[in-house]
Amino acid sequence: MKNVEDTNSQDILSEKKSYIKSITNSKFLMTLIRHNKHNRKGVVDVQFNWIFVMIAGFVIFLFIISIALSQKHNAENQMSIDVMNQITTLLNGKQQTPNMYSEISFTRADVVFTCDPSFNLFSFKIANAQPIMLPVDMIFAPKQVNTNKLLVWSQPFTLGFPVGVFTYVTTPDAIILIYNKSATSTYANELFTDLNITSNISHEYMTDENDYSNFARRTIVCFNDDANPPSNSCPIAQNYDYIKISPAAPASSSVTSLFDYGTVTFHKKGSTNADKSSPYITKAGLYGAIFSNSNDFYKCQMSRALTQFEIKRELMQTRMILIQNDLPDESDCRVTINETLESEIMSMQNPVLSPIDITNLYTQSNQLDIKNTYLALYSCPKLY
Amino acid sequence: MIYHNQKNNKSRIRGQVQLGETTAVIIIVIILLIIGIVFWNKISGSNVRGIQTQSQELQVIDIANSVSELTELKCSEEGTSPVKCLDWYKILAMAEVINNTDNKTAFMFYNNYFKNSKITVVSIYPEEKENITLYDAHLANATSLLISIPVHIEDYLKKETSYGLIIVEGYYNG
Repeated sequence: MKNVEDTNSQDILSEKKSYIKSITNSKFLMTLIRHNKHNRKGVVDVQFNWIFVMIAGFVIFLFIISIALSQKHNAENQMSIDVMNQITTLLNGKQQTPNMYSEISFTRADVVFTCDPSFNLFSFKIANAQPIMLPVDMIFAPKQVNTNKLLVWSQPFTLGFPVGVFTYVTTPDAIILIYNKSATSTYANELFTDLNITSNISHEYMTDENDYSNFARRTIVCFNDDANPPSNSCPIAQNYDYIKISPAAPASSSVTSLFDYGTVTFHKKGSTNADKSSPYITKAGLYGAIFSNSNDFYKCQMSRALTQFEIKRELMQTRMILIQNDLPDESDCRVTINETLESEIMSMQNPVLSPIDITNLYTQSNQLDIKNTYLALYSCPKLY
Repeated sequence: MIYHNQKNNKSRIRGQVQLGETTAVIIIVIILLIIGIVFWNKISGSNVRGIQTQSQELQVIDIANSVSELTELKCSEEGTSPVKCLDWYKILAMAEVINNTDNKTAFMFYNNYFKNSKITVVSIYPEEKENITLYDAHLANATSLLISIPVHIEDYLKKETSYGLIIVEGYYNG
């Protein structure tokens, strides 16, 4: 009986033990599971924090980079605007002061000069900045240059009375090569001497073009000159770009001067198209053709110049009519002014860049000079 | 069991508090950024307005200087006097051509020089003549800056010299 009781009590004990053991085990397991869960949560937390930090850092990094880039862009734009303002001031200043030479330096950039013939508008821009319009300035320049310095020179454009000022823009790496192979061209000497006196622009008599390879832009100027045999007047057409100047002989005079009027021909080597020609008038006009070195650009600027000429002519005509009306009927001054109005001023109306109109402008402007001197001699009000 | 529930609740509350903190920080940063941007815009805007007004005033001075330098108005013979000389008949001719309502070419051309301004020539001595308006951009509702330049006015017909003023009124949106 006692044995049976012992056995029972042992069984209960072992059952209790196994129960306790199982409970202990499950508790341990639970703890383990909980621990694992906790650990995983911690790992996820840590990973999320890192991802958050990385994303935030990347966004901040992008923000700083974008600020730096926009600052750089703004600084470049500001610099372009500053340079463009400086150039504008210089070019505008030249419009009021003929026979002036000046230079402007800036950080190397592409400078583009544009003349739009359909709107008669001139503009220039630096690099990718917005172009600046110069609606009244008559500027002759190459279409595009990459430079850190511009040389600016000006000449008065006068057709009897002052019309305006032509401004010429070039770069230090440009040279005017005057072709004078037989050394007999009077026009070549005339141009060389004038450039010597009036400007600091690089110019030489052309011997061999290769001697000037340190100049990026070389403008060869040659002449249709009776003193030169035709074979010597210009370089070999297949090898060179050049500008051929053919001064005209005024009907009233046997002597032709280079700076009166004539025709300029722009020759491009290797071009299948025929050479383009345009008439020129006065020294200012001739230099316009040489400095622009492009028939289209030259024609566009000359067309703008002739538009301005028409406005100035109209002003002059109105002034003369007003003076004429205030003069006594029988006065000599009135007769001369009336004559000038009818024969010169009226006939110069609305000129275009054609050989006929240019010849007429040259003749009438010379007559105006004569009449002006006459009026001054007879104590009449001068024309200009 | 109760212990575990309490622990879970605590950690959830802690998580919620952390999330709230993060959100608050983000909101504060955004508000600060917005305030900064608004402030920056206001400052740069007022700077731009200041520069604009200054440049418009300079433009008026520039116009005043250029008028007296125009060859279309200047006397045939310039003397040595520092006072500019204008030809009376050139003034009359220019006023007539620019104010010609049938042909606006001259007005458009001189608009490039005179921009938004009104230019008047006044003869003061020896006798006051009527004012001659050379150019008027006719801008209403705009403030103006007025500049006067003393000039000689030469009448080559009567051979008389009078003294006068070029008055330049520059219109701008101040």
